[in-house]
Formats: sequence, structure tokens, C-alpha cells
Amino acid sequence: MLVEFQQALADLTASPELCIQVRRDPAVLNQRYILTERERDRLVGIVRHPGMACACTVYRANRLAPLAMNIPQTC
Amino acid sequence: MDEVRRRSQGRALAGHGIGLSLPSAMPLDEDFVEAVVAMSSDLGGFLWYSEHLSLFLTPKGSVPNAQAGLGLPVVYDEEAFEIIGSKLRRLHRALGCRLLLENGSFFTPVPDMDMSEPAFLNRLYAEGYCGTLLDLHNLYVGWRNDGLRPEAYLEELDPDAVEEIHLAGGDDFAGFYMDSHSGLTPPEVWRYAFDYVPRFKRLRAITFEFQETYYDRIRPEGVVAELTRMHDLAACCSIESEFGDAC
Repeated sequence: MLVEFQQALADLTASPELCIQVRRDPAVLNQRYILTERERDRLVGIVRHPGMACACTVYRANRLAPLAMNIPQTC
Repeated sequence: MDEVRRRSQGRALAGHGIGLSLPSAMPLDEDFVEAVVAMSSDLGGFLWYSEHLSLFLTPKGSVPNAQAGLGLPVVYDEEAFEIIGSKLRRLHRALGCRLLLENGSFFTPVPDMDMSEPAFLNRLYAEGYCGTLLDLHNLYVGWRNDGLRPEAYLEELDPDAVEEIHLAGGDDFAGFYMDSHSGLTPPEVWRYAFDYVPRFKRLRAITFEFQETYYDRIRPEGVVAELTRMHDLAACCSIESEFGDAC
């Protein structure tokens, strides 16, 4: 299901821990999301790509930067 | 908004958005659409409106309109085509102007897709949904990070689909090249521009993107140099000019 694939991709980008779990055991994806085999394989390919570490970093930077800029004393 | 109103007087105005997340497998954010329509009306009407071919909203987030945090890649297949196409129709009805979609920059390509990105954009154009806003720097980002050849992309893309191009510069971070809009357009991007942009017979605008926080790095001289070279590029093209100067 595309909706599940997109949510899984967003969750993975937000969570390096989940990426590590999926790299170790791709079946983790099937426990959390309703995916076709092709969708699961695509996500596994994305998670194993070197760029995933950068995507996770940019996610955190984009989340934290507005807080640091606008309400710095909360960081 | 007062400054935008003042500066847009007597000029053609194009809108550029990042939040509609057209590829998300969820309904269009109608409040957002209405806000765009209100802004367009307030400014006298956009000549065209562009959005990104990226996923920004997560369809099953814990809150409405949950943000993905960055633009995520799209799976180019029939299902995505139907979702994006139907939303483009709705957006066109609401805004009443030409629509463009911009190619994104991603750190993680999606394996095993039914269509390439240029094939997807070509089909959107051929079937009358929208034109293409071609970000040449995003192609450069793909080459720097993944070795994806921009020339192959540019050869596959229908030159008639391209109605606007974006130029920009970026920087290196953690072993990757970022589309940070932090600097001047790299020489390779200029080469793509001068090699391919003259083929885009329906081109209407050339835009240099930079992040305002990097203004001290780019400096006014840098902006002037970019604008001068953009004029040189425009002189090589047949930019549609019946709308006056783009704003």
C-alpha cells in the first residue's frame, strides 16, 4: 500500500534506530507496515543506501534549526 | 506582503510553493490551496504556480499534516501518476493558472521504479497536467552524491516541457553535497545550462536561488555576477516574453 510505504519511508528518515533494525532484519518492516514485496524491497534498498545517513541527519537539522532560531533557550 | 505587492506592480508574477506535497497518498490540503488562491488574488494573479515533485507530508502521521522533515523521493508509477494528476487538476481549477512541477534532490534514490523521473515529468506534460520547472542544481546534487549523469536526464527530458529553470549553489556536509542554496552556481551547472537550456523553446524564466542567511557569503558582487551570466544565458534562448519581465 502506497500510504504505508510513504509512512514507512518518513518513519525511517526520522529514526536512525529503525534504519539499523531494518538493515539487520528487513522483516521488521512487515511487522510494522502493510507492504507489498516490491515496496519492502524498495525500502530495504533505500535504508542500505549510504545517503540514508545523510537524510536522517538533514531530518534532525530541519527539525531542530527552527527551534534553535526562534526559541533558542529551549534547546 | 506590502513589499511584494509594491515590487510586483507592472510585472508578471509566478508563485512557488513547497508545502502541498502533491505525491502524498492523502487528500489535498484544501486550507493550504485556499491560502495560495488568496495570495494569488491579492497579488493580481499568478502567471504560473510551481510546486515540488517531492513528499513533504506523511500520510499516517500522528497529527494532521505531519511533516516529513525534508523532501522525500517519489515512486514513479501509475498510482503516483493518478494521485499527482488528480491533485494538479484540482489545483488548476482553484488557481486558474499554468502549473509546473520541480524535480527534487534526494539522498536516497528509489530502486526498481516503473518510470524514470524525466519520463514521469514528460508524461505529466504530454497529458496536459503541468509543465516542468527544471532545477539544474538538483541534477548536479544527484551527480555529486550518486553519480547520476545529468546529461542522461537532460537527454530524456522533453525540452518542450521545461518552462522555468532554477540555478543554485550548495556545499559539502558529512561527505555529501547539499542543495543548501549557500553559494554561487557551480561551473558544471552553468555548463548544463548553456548546453541544454537553448533547447527549451517554451522557457519563461531563469531563477537563481540562494538562502538569505548566506547573503554575506555570496555578497552583492556574487549576485550581480550571477544575474549577468543569467542574462547571457537568456540571450541564447527564445524566452517567451509576451508576459513582460518575470518578477
